[in-house]
Amino acid sequence: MTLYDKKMRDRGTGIIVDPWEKALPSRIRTLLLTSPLHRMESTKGHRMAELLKQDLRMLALRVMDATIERMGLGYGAAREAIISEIVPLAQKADETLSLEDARAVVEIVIEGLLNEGERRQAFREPYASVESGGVTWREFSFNLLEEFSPDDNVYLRVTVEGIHLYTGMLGFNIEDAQVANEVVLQYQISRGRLSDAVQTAREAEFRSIQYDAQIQGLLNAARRDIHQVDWVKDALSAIGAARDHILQRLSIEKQILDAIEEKYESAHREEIQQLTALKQQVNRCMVRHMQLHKLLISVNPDYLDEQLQQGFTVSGFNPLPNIDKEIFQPALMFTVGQLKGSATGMIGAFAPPQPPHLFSLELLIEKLTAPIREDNPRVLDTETPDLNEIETDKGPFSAADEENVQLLLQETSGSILLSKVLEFAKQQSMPLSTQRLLVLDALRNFGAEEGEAGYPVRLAGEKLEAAGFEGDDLTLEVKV
Amino acid sequence: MSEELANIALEAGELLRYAMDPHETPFQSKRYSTLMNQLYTSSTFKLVFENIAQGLEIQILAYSPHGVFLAGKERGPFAFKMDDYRSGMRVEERVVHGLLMLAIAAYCFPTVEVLDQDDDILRPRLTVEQIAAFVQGLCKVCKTNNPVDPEQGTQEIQLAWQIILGLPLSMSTGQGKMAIGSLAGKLQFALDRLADNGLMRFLSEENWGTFQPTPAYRIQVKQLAGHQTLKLIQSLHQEAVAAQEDKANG
Repeated sequence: MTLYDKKMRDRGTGIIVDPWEKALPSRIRTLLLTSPLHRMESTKGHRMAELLKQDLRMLALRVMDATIERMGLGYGAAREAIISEIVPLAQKADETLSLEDARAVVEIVIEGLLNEGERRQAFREPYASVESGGVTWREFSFNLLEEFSPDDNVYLRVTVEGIHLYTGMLGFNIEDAQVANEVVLQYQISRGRLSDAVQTAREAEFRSIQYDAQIQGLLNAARRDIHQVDWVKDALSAIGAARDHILQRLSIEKQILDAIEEKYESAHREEIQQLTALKQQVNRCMVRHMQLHKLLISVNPDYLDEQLQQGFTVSGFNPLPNIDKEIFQPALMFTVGQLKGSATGMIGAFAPPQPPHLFSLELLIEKLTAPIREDNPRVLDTETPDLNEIETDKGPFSAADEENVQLLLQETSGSILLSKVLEFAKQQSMPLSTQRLLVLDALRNFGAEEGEAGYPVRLAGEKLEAAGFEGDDLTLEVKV
Repeated sequence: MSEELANIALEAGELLRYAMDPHETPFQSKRYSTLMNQLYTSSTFKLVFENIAQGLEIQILAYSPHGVFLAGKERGPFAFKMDDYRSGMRVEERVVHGLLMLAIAAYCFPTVEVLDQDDDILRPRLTVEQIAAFVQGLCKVCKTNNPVDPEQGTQEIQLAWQIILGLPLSMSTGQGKMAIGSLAGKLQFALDRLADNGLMRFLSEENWGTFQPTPAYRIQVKQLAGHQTLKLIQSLHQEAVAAQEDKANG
């Protein structure tokens, strides 16, 4: 009997039906997870006209999908990578959308998922719950997407609730969902339904990422504050259960890998690719579970030590204050006279230690007696090297071109438009290289410093479109 | 003294130097990362490091993957001095800057739950314009709830929100920069100082300046600023209550 069979048997094997009073709150919370997406879609008209042709719910789910996929490979996804990936989808929904507008659309979706409008606080959804025969209003708070910086770089990651929402396993316990995925996966492999199995393995991978995030969340909470988690009562039992669960997963994943290996022997050519994809996905789950298991084994002494340390710090015993309601708003109601003694403390609380400047008599004397620096920039004493001209290929302009340009300028006197001179050169069948040299000469004189121009050149305020040249026309002030 | 211990002391001093530079992180500096690793693995190293810090009257706020976070103890050589922030400020200017520091923290961490998140989770980008609107909004609520004679008395007896509401929202200098005399100018100054200390990341000039709090800012607020400023406000409140009682008792 496989381990998952045992687990299902232990649970009574059949469908577990909770009494409706118990099931209802969990079902409602499940439903509420989608609220931010619906709200984003229903209010899109107020934000940007370009959003009307977009289904923001679809884009939001695609953002989550792309982010979860990258979470499997590392910390998460760079915002820019996600934007680049989703922009083509937004442009498919509205082919008239420019790249800039498409980026703005994706930014709006990401900001919506981060709850940027509410300063990234958790989404708060009120719901009615039936308790002790009466109806009580409660609030469900959750995040879907987070921006975080574990190593100086900034990443996006989908939260546990977000993965729940995305994978469509709403209302299921993560551990149960993992077991269910594996049962389905084994069944699909045994029946040769490999393309379905690849999809199931992908979901299983998302589950393992979600489970990883859940366990890391528990450990981080314990590390942050000993008062939040009762280590001996809650955390240790949760860690024990997690270890058992992971050992079961590793065992089943080994069985699945064996089944995949077996399948290779009888596989057709087109099935081999699918089997390889499957193997890679299951392997990634195994690696993640092994790392998590290693962490859970080592966690006890580390965290007990951490708790001991926190126990000795003064702030560990104080609950965190509400900066806005308990500090800032009351402070506004004091007079300047009352606050003046505390101002230094208030600013200093936000300043890391400032190393004092140490007095050094030696350094002071050295600085005071240092020779006065001359303001003139130093000139390097370098000898001018002897240079000889070397033979080179002919340049783009010949001596004839230079003669032609001189002739053209001699032919004109006073103010004349460059376009007119070019037209004249064309009429006289002068080569294109001559015309180019004329244009370059005009531009050189236009940009020359005062007194260095051969003849003054200024903007004519008209467009030049003559003899294959385009741009602003110039007026040449050629001396007679 | 053994040579080994002398080496440990040298390296502990080196770690302290890294910890005091707000722009150094273990992710950028391999040496800092190695020293942090030593801190986690060697109890002797940790003890020496903590003893040196104690001797210098430096408080260790937190050990984190982002580095060691410190604070100068009151009246110690590393304690904060107002001149480190801005010299020559008048009393009401100091008060306004203190309040704006609180306002920025309140804007970044609107609830206890948000403050209590993991250090790695980033708070939203914020602009000078947004915080100015947030501060003005709250001061206007104070004005509505506590109508007072705007002409009354000297600045000393004016309420903090009155002083803030009396500031122009924005004002340009001759060079086209934001004047420090305006609310936006003061906020810009405060955010720039936080950025200098590695607590904010400057992103762009958009909306008078766009910044994002770093994980170090959360650690600073969580481990020190929150508790310290709460204590200040609580003691002010107690003083005010005692003064009222004295007045009532004649």
